[in-house]
Amino acid sequence: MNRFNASTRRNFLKQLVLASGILTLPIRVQSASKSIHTRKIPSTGQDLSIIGTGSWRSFNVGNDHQTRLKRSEVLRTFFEMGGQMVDSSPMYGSSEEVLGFCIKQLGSTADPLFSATKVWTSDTNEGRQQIKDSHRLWGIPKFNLLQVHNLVNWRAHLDTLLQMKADGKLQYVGITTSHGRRHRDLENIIVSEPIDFVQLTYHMQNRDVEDRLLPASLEKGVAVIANRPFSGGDLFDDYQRYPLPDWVKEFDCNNWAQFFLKFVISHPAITCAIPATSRVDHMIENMGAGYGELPDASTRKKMLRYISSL
Amino acid sequence: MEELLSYRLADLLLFSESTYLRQFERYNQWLYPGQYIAAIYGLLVLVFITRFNLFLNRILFMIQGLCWLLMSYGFLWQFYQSINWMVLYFIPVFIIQGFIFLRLGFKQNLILAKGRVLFSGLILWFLALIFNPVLEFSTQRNFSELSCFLLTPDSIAVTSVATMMLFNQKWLWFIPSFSWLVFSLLTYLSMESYSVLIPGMSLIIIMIYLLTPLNRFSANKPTL
Repeated sequence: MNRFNASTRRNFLKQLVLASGILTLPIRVQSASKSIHTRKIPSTGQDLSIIGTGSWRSFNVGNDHQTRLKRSEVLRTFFEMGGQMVDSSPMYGSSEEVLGFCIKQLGSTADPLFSATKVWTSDTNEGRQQIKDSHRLWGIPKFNLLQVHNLVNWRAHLDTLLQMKADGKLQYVGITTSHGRRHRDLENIIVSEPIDFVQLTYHMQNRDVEDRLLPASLEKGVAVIANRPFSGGDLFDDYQRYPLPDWVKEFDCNNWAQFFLKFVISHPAITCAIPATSRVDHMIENMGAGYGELPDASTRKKMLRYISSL
Repeated sequence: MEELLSYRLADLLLFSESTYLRQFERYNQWLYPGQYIAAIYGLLVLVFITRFNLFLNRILFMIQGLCWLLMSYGFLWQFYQSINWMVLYFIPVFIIQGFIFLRLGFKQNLILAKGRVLFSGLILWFLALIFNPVLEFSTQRNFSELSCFLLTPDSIAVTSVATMMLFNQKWLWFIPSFSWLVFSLLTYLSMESYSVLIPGMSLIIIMIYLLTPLNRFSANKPTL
């Protein structure tokens, strides 16, 4: 019943990966930081690393200085392995404040940071204040991306964000949903509004977005961020006790995290996936998915057949 | 409405279980050695409560009142609210419960219940003092993360309800304790944690006490 108990295999892997990761990190970073996969943001052509990081739960550690320092190390690993997009929201408790602490701790290591947060309130004026608060908490003068969170009061907030972009105070505008909610509304917005990004849930057990939202995003030139690529950890609970098949080596997959992530990022519409983690060893695994080969269309089908068979 | 119903309890939880347990670890460091004093006190009450006089009964109420006030500042304000904004709404609830206890400590007729009611109250006291830490330790909480008797919210909520039964006090005075137990139950349910047993079992015992004629077995009438 206690999910805290679930990962015997991951704990074993952790010992190996952490040991090898610590020993080889500088070498790997030197060769790897130039070779992480990137995708172009359609509206500008800017390159963005294909694996980002989320901060729901993982960075909500409150005023605990010791744990904040640990999260700084998680973020250090992220940047050293070529990560760029860090996504958060006012909804995530103290995550924004903790991220601001970590970014300050890391200094120039946190570069290039692609900062992404959200507006989450039903009140339009409160939304403007929330954006100011986010700037203060992150400690950065300008966000790369601001998104309307879960379509809450989306019309008014979108107007605010588009105005900020026009004034040069913001680089990109986006809108988010999660858990497969309000897809019809999101599709209408993708088609009719001048947004740069859309964020939605996409993983091996929830591929609803493949039918309409991903094709619509590709057609309209909207970048797609995939949240919850592990379904909040459920995919590990369901599958990690099984062995990975040998053929995963063909696309440089070494563990289940990379299996799940490579499936997500191999879809041509996906610009970036943002798994969240509070552990350095898990961050190493996640970022590893951004390197090497990616599965092609037939391999993706093979991956789906494999997990269906389990 | 449909969208609201699509949310699972776990979707509403903003922190991981490890982060939650870390708050207990930090609180225990802040509280040291208070948790050991509280445990000894709890044991003394369990063993000797039937020999308490009116003065000691009042002291029992006063101590619990002060513990509620301590926790509103210590655990809730210093630690827990930094990861869970909803807890801010419980700070005044804790303060109110604390003052209720202090006020009840001045009453003239704090007489110990007898029979099954006394037994039910002592069961709850035992749940908070002995069963809770044993359950936590056996389900992989580290020693430093254990929730100490009387000085953590679940524990004092359960002992408060126990006190209600032990002294036949009106259940209305303990609504703050009930509300915390429900909140804690939902929190542990969303974490899928075995610790859900403590608020869960307590709430079941409370419902049995309130809905059955159990309190009729006490020799003392419930007081206003």
